[in-house]
Amino acid sequence: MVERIQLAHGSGGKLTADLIREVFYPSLGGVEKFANDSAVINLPACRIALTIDSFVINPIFFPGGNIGKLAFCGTVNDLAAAGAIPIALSASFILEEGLDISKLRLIVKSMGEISQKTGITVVAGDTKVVDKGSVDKLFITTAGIGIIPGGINYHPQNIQPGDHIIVSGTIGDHGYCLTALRAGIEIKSSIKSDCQPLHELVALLKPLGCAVHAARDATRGGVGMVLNEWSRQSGRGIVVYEKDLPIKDQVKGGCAMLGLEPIYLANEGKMVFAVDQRRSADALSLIKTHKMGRNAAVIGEVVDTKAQVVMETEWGTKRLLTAPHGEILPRVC
Amino acid sequence: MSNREEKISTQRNEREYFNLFLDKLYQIANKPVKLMEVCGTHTMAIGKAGIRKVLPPELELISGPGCPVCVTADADIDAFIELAKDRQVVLATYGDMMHVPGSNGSLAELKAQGADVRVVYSVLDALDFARAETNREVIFLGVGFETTAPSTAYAVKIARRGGLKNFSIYNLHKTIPEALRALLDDTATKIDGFILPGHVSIIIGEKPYNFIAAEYGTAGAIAGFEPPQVMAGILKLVQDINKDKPTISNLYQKIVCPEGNIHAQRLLDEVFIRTDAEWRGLGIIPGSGFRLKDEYKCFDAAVKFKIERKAVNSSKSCRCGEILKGLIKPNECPLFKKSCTPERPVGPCMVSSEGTCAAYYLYSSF
Repeated sequence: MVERIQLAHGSGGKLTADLIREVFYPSLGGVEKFANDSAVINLPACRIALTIDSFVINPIFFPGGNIGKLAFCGTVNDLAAAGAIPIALSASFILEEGLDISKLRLIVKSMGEISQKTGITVVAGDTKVVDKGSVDKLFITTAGIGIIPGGINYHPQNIQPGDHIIVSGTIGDHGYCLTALRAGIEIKSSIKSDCQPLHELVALLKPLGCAVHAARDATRGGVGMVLNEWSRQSGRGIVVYEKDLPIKDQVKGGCAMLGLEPIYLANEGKMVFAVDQRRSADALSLIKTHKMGRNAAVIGEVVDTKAQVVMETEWGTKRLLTAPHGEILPRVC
Repeated sequence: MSNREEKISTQRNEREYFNLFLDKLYQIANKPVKLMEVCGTHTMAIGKAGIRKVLPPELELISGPGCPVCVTADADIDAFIELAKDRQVVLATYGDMMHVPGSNGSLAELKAQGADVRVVYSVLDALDFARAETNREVIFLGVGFETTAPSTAYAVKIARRGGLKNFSIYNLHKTIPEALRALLDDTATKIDGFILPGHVSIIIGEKPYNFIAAEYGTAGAIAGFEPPQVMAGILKLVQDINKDKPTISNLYQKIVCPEGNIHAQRLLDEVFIRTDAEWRGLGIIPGSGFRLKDEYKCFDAAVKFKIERKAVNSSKSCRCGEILKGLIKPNECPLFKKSCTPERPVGPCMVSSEGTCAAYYLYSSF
């Protein structure tokens, strides 16, 4: 029989304790006798990055990952975008009554695996159970802290005319994979979500110090959204070269069919950087040394115009690249 | 040669074609010519490739009524929104229709209030809902031109064969050639040539367009959607117009065969009969709609749920009608980019990704 989450699993009583002991501790490495209301971490005197993110995706399993891996990587990448070395995460699970516990196990297990691989520990957690229909299977919220090394200050306000825009790999993989899955298009292709932790890749740029002006994890709204935010925040123009965008052919073709633009699709393992042009070649070669950065490319530059993002198309024409609007919906025909 | 290199070299070739066609256009463009791209996908492709900005100044490219969402009449929008309010109903729709504003809100707003509105990618998904949830009434919003109408016809046929009692369609399907005739009959619109829709032509073939040249002396070119293909269409039209020999040419022969898709045409004839239809901004166009034949009538949501279309006294000051006829450009509408934006659309032309106003908004000049 399928083991399912019941409301009593969230009651705070024995079932809750059993669930934590049997599902969460084995994967995330908790030890019951050390459990307390807060995790306590000793940190040196330094600058701390703190972030939080909620994950409410459908489907919860997808090629290349699941909601658990996504929740882990998403928060790690938010810390990485501040140039921080991730130290620890906390995770809160809101579970729907009736959830198949074996699925929860798989999700927590994949969080555990990536935690072991990265050495970043989930030091605090919480579970709640709500009535069937109140959430869609499960929601996960992860928060994280990290230490920002000296000499690092990634912020859009540092962006200057002449900066090169670098993206760490092919764009739109995650968004395409999920949209195609929701659309019921059988993906016989090799496109998987790019869900992966980028802190090591970002750390490679540490020697360049403040020549790296800004970094951002190009999740919802994709690279198009990041560039529009940067343009607005820095008050500068940005030019993007369409021909230089690293996009997998399958993603490009599939997007053409669904009426989507890869530059607006979510990524879960791609970082966008603005780098002083004098160090951009160095930055690119450093990124390319990492296996997650092999397809990295310079895709544009910051220009001294009004705050707008302009795409130089592969046809040699120009057009505005506006911020994406609302939810991504497929077109009629 | 690695894949990456191969990919780049193909792109270069295509760009060379694009530039070649553009250069030729500059050589031959010697008088004002007004062309209409009929199809919303062309509008989007033209915007995305920035084509309008690079054409010779003599050439004017206007957008036509070929976005299915944009030409949906207010009365229909209100009718299907009314249908979705019924808690027994699952309304299945293509994504573009979610944000179309009716007199009292959109499907998206209704969904937020608890209505069961589901975005589907195929009418077959709606059939699946009906099979799985026999205690619910599943209504599919049949929207689109000859491109999507055959799949709706197919679903109705399957539903009848399977004896599905809880499935119906709200039929908004329309036909392109009749709309072109209406545009040509309108003396205010002076169009020298049409870039004809590639996808619609896959179904209907070449013949239904012949009247454009034969009766109205206007040129037409069926074109694909890649920028060089669009450019080739424009070039062919200008060549024809210059020679004063309007013809209907098929520049998308790899995909569009002269007789079209006979199987899809038969399916349409089997399930539907032609009827007059109301187009937003263009009014009633004779023979431009589809009605389910009597034997399929039980799948007509309007009949099943006794929906009466109520004439809408549109107080909206949006100028969709003139935009759809190509009489004005979106930026000449007083609401454009002011009270009408993709986030808060006043008219459907701003909603759909293929809508003329949305395309102008997204890809406008800078």
